[in-house]
Amino acid sequence: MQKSEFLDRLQEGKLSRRQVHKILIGAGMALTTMPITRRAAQAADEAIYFTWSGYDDPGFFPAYVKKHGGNPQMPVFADSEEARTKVQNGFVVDIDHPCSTDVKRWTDANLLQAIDTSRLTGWGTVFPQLKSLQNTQIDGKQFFIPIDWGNTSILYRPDLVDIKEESWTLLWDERYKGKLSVAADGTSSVPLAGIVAGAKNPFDMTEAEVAQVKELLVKQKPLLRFYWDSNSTVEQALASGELVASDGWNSSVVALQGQGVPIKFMNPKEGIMSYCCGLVLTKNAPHLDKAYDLMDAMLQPEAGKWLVTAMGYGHSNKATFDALSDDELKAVNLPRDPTVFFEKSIFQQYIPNTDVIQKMFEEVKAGA
Amino acid sequence: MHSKAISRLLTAFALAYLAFLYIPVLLLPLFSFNDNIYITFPLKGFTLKWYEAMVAAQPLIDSLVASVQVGFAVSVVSTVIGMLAAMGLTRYQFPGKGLITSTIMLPLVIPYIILGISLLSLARQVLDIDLSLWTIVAAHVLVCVPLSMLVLIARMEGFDKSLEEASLDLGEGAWRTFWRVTFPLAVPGIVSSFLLCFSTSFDEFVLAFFLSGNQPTLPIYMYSLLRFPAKVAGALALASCILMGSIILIVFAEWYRRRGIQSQQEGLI
Amino acid sequence: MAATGAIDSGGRPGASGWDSLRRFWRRRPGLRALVLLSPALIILLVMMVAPLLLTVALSFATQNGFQIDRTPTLANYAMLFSPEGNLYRILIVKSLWVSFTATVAVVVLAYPMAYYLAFRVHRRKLLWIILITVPFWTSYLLRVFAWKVILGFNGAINSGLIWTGVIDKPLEFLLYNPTAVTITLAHAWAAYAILPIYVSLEKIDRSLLEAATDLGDGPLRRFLRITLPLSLPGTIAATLLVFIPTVGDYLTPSLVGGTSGIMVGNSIATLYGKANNGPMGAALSIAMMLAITLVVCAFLVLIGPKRLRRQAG
Repeated sequence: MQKSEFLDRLQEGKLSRRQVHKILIGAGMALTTMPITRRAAQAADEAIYFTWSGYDDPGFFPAYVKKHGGNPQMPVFADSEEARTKVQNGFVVDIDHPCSTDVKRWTDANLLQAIDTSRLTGWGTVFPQLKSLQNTQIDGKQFFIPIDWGNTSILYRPDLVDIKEESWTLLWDERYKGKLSVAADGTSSVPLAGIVAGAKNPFDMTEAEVAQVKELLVKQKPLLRFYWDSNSTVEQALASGELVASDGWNSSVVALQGQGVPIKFMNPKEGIMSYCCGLVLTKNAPHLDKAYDLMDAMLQPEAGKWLVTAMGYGHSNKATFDALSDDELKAVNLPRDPTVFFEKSIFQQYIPNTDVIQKMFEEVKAGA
Repeated sequence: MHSKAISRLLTAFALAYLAFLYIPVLLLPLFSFNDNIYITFPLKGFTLKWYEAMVAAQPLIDSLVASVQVGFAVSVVSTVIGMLAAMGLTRYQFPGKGLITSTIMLPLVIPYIILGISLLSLARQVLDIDLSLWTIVAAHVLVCVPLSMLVLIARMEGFDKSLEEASLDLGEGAWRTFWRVTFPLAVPGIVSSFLLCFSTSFDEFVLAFFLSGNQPTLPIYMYSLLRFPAKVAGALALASCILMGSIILIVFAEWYRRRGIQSQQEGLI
Repeated sequence: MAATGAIDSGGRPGASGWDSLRRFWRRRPGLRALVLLSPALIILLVMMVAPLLLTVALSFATQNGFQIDRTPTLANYAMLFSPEGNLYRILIVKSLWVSFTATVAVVVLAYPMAYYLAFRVHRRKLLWIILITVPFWTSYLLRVFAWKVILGFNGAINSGLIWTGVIDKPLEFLLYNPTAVTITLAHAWAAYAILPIYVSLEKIDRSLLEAATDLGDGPLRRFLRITLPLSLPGTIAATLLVFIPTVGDYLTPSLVGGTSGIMVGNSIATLYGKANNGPMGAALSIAMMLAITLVVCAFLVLIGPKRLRRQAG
């Protein structure tokens, strides 16, 4: 059928149903076989950076974009463990973005290669405490490049909560029954309870301590509205007043304040928890040079400034903090000298008996 | 019981049910114009910034296109295979029918997380094929074929073979008999199968995650966005666009069809 | 199939080979069935059998850190039956129950809708069908967020009730409990229930219904004696389509089920991932699949082996 004839017929509604079907099928097949965008075709040879989907903003690695003219390829994950499972089962990437507590799982599974820090120009000014986090170095070799860090503490609504002192025990306060929450992730909520129980090392508890913690968690369960699965859920609930307090990250404070919600980030007397996430290099990384470019780009103060001001996370490079103004730091609740935090806070660590902890937490949740 | 009363009750129920289906979904466009990154009442103010953010978020749109492509491919392939299987099962008698039916239904029983990890191993470690949208299509076809087959069996059950036999007796070949007799009768089942397979694939996350290469599909991208609540609002705008776009497309198609009917006096499905 | 020789072309040179092939084809309905089924079976064999065998094999292994010890052992299954395995037994039963209630809710609500579509809508049926599936093209996550907005503390229902003065403090029991899970699932699976039932109802011969009316049956008797039984394939399909996958679903319960929202799927995912115990996860999955199979078989037997044979025949 000629094109003009087709258009005429279309207008007059005279195309038979058969013809319309044929056209639809043809269009469908064309749609299916079309490559996504030209961009995707161009990006085919860039470094493969496996991370959270919000990180695809070029602000996180401006130096890489400048050098290579585009973003790296970015497959995304929603859960760090699932990401590791996928790589373990054969998915090829250059760089992944786990938290320091997970690095041991990657090295135990023999998935990583050591990173040659002399190739990273930004490495010199990285905070020394972050360079040597537990399990990130093996035989003096560096397997983890810290990028973003933050604090985990209690987010609470000062207009709905009345407390005399700041303590983790707020999450066990009977007065706020049904309006509290903790993370559904056992590796976060169990050490939290461990801190309250007074365990010697909340990340490596003895059998007796685990039993104690279980009792605490069972006591806590009826006070909770739900176990949160993402900080979107927590922030939504705090914004609407469904929750008055929950554990969460400092970046959430920034976001909530930005929307005009009265919120405070607690500095508990037992100690605030800190986390640090960053980059690891896989063993059979196909684009080694570009991978190093990417890692270095994410360490630069330019990228760090973006991370701090746009996302509210801390950056691992001291030079970034030097480059930020007092106002900018105040807006995101970060101190001029974060080493204060690193010295005093309880850094999250690898939990050796993860399976025991997870099972115990599931039993609490299932009521078994 | 008066049939008129029943009729009115039924109509009321149908409308209420449609409201039930749509109300949660219509909230999405409402909040996509709300000047608040959190999806909560009270409403704050009108804004278009989420739509601007959505247009600027190229990876989000890429993942939408990927999902549409995968969904379409999966629907077509699953429906064809499901149709063949349904024809085989409803029109012939042979031993082991129950066993074969249950076998084909197996993908429904196995948890997707196990299926995903196993298929990933199969693809990468045994067959050494790269992950891409096509590996996702393969996995989705596996779980959509039982779906398609079930729907089409429901349609083809007790199929009156005498119609086909009449057509063959009158001189039509097997292929034309299929197209002119079997296919038109099966169309509601085929359309249903197509729609269900598309919906399943379009919104499926677990299998898609484990079998995706460097191009994510929309659910993968969105689940990952939950870590950044500010970006979730952009996804809201996209979902609203999908909703509005689909409805406009359907309304247009219906309007066009009615014009066709008026000029051709064709029948209906 | 009808008269085998009726359409054979006669007398063409060299045609006898094709003719005998065609005759062979027509006389073997079993072969035709097999050919029709082959694509489905091939896909299944290649993509399903391997994962299944891997999972079964894994369930007999044990894991230590990242090392998998392949010496066959029944330890995982023993755990399931031991007092330590209480958690898993509870989760399986709970998942079956939640899935059962959700399935009943979905199918019972979907049936009248499908009936309306099949019998009361006379024009634009396709439009209605598509309209029913369109809501499910928006992201599942966002739909759950929307449900939270409706059922939540400051949500639509509560705000509305407070505004009209019916209550003065928000209702807390609307969200984060098993009821919320059932409502969300009834919404999520709607299309999967409506369409198979519709497809089945649609093909009921209207003349049967007319005959019944002529013979004096009232609408209720007509429905019970003709419509309902004839729509059974579709209803059974709907039931299976909703029940089976829901048992393993962990997303909805974790998002809206509150503190009691954990199901067996969560546990399996954790065992495969964070808890580093793939073999136990595999054993639990097998146990879950067997439980589902048992329940489904019991259901199908209940429906009536006679009727089933009639449908399958």
